[in-house]
Amino acid sequence: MKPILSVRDLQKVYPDGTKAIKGMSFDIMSDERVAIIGRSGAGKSTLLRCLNQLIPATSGEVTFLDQSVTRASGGAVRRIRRQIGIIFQQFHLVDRVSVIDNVLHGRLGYMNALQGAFGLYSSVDRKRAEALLERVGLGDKANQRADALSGGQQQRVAIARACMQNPKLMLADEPIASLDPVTAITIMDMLTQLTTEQNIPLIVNLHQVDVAKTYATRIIGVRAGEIVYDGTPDDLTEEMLNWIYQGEVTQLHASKPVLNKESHKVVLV
Amino acid sequence: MLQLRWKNMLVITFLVSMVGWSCVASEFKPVMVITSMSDAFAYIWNDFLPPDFVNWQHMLKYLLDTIYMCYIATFISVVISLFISLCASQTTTPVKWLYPIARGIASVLRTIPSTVWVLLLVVSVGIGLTSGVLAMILAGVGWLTRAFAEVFDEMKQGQMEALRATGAGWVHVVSQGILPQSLPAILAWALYAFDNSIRDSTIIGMVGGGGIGFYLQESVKLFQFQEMTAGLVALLALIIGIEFATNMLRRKLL
Repeated sequence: MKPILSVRDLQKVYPDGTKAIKGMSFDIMSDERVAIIGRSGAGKSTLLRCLNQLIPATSGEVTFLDQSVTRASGGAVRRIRRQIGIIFQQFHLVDRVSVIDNVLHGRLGYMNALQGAFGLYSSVDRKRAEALLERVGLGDKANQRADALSGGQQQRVAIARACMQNPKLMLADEPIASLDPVTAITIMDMLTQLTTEQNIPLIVNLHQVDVAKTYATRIIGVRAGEIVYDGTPDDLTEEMLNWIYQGEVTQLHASKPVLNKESHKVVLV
Repeated sequence: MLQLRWKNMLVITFLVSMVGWSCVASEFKPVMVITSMSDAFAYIWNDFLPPDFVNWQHMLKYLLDTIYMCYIATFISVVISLFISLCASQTTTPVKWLYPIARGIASVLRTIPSTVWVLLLVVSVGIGLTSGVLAMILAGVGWLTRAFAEVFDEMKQGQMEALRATGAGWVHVVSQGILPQSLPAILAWALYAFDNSIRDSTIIGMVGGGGIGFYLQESVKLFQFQEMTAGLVALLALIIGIEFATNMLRRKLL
């Protein structure tokens, strides 16, 4: 099986000299759910943004579905980005605009300048956006302004927007860091279910080790811009965690959430 | 301390003597201001009052002209400013090299006051409304561009990043993200610009740009001082009225 995404020797040096990523390599297969864990400033966010060129890499190669992301420019970048959904910590909805329009924004990458400028979405797209909103449980909020929604609801809209892109890869940058624990579980469930259904890989940056262990099939530990762990959640030892977090392991819950493999629902035990 | 006081005394002496020198050099006589005060008031009382609205139809035409002028000028300068300001903000410029060019255009336009624009345009375009409107547009674009660019500068970067991440192009990000997000601020500035242009129109008309200023100037030239006062009263009412209306709209927007 060919990997969906392949990263080779990726490096990122910011103009101020900060070395955010110091040579990372990994492959992502279509059935993988990867959690990237590490302290703030370890380079997790930069890494994710290099994968769809929101931040240009300094050197190295990112290949997505046989196309080079790192060497793409102009229209090619747009064609790559529209196939990669991304969820942000702060949701980043256009908050003065209606919920349904925010979901429809997921189609902009497939439209020409004029269609997009006037929001001339096809009726197929509109139906699909409604269905997706229904799917994330916000069917009744379609015409509300996005800023009228709670944080968890906004994140669900952001997930619907990403799904609207028909992505071949889903990225999430600390998707639950601004949410309360219960909402956080709903969001993680939703991301897991939707990506599993579409048979697309999910790469998620997480702060909470317990959540990462529960949801991920593979964990990549990042420390100071380098991958120090790449393996299954079960093999992730206490010593390794201490090494990754330099003694600062973050726990989301006092009780432990466990993923039911059949229903993809999480229960607290 | 003594030395410091000495310095202060010197500075004060210098400042006061400069006033004296300026008066002598410009032949401005401060005493005259006081002695002729009563004359001046008597003159205003006798010749300018009461306002004479006999030519009200004539006056109304110019007053309406002023409103039309200002409306057209504001509308056009808002549209032009939107385009330039998108380039004049580092967060929204489509290509980096457009940024200094857009900033430059705005700075040049801003340094030249609208009255100077009219004087230039009256020579090339001729006396009348066209010159006035053009002058208002040029001056308006200058400062509106800067105001809009500041609005875009303060926009949340994340929303634009999220749109770009969906594969949206620049036109998409602007039309679907930046414009809807900054619409209230843009409209508030546009209302202020309209307000401002009404006030500006008096002096623009006086130097040949048409509108109510032109009427005032005309009345003075014909020694119809009471008609001029009528014009001033009407103008004052207009300014207060427009300011009241725009303030109300602005409060509704924000």
